Amino acid sequence: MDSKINFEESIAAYLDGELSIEDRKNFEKILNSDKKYKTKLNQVVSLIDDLKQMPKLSTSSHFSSQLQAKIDLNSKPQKKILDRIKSVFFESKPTLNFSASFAAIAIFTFLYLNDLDVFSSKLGSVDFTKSKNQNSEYFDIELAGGFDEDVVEDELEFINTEKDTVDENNND
Amino acid sequence: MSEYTDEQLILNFQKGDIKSFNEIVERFKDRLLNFVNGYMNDYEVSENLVQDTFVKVYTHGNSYKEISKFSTWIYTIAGNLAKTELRKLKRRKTYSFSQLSNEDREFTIDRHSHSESRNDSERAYKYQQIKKAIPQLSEDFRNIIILRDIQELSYDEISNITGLAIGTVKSRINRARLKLIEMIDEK
Repeated sequence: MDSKINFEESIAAYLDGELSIEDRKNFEKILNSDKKYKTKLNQVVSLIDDLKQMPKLSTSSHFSSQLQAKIDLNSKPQKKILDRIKSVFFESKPTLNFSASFAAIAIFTFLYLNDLDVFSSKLGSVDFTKSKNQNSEYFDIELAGGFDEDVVEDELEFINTEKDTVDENNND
Repeated sequence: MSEYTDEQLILNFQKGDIKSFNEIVERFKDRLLNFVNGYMNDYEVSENLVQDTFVKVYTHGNSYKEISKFSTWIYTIAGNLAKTELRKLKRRKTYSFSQLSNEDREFTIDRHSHSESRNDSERAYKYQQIKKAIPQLSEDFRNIIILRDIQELSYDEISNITGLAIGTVKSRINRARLKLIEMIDEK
């Protein structure tokens, strides 16, 4: 192995006192063999000293006040959102409450007077493949809601014709 | 300063003690400034980033868990912010401007050193050379030399902050020092 590479790689370990006794002896043997090794070691030692003693930077006199301003800026929006949520749910607002109640009453009255079956789940579950009687029942209910009787009859005829066609096909 | 450890202070802050937060700021502000300045080489930008680091500690203080040292945690935050800022600066291609303004600032330091003795001015000149050389080191070397030789952190702490194995940290510090000497000699 190249002794120079070994020497350079071992400088930090030598300075930290982490070399084994044998490695330490080898290191010092190389160190004393040539002046350039001593120079290199001295350069490293000197650099470490300089780095440690280098004048350290200090924060400016405005540091704390600027930091406080930044913290205030970062914590304010959260506070505002929380306050808004609290005010909506927990603070009493007579005008808003009155308006909301009035609107609710108006909507329910409108639905009731027009007999709109908006809450019924029946409308969405009609099965057109069922028997004629069942479909008639369904259309009877719909007729009460104001559908045109002629249109419904036409639709029933159309359904029956379709059913007949299916039956004919099946017989074939 | 109280005799609380850094970890006790952050735990107190998590319980709502603002005084503990203020003490953390006092303990770490200059250390972090020197650390971040090693990345940025710009005093004002570095100071801003240190403030941002403390804002993160303030707003996300509860995310610190006692499994790691507080110093490791806060150095990691500061390092990440510095790296992000460096990337932004590189993208904007204004990095050279910030370096230019920094050199202007260094003349002020020179003026101070003229009034001191000759030995001191020689030392100041050497510090200048080192200060100029450090930002030119590769990021891997720069981090480790700042953390070990300027911040004087243990290998263990450096390993935690950088995520490198202790053996890698040790070999890198050696190579970083030799590289720095080489760069200073070239000037």
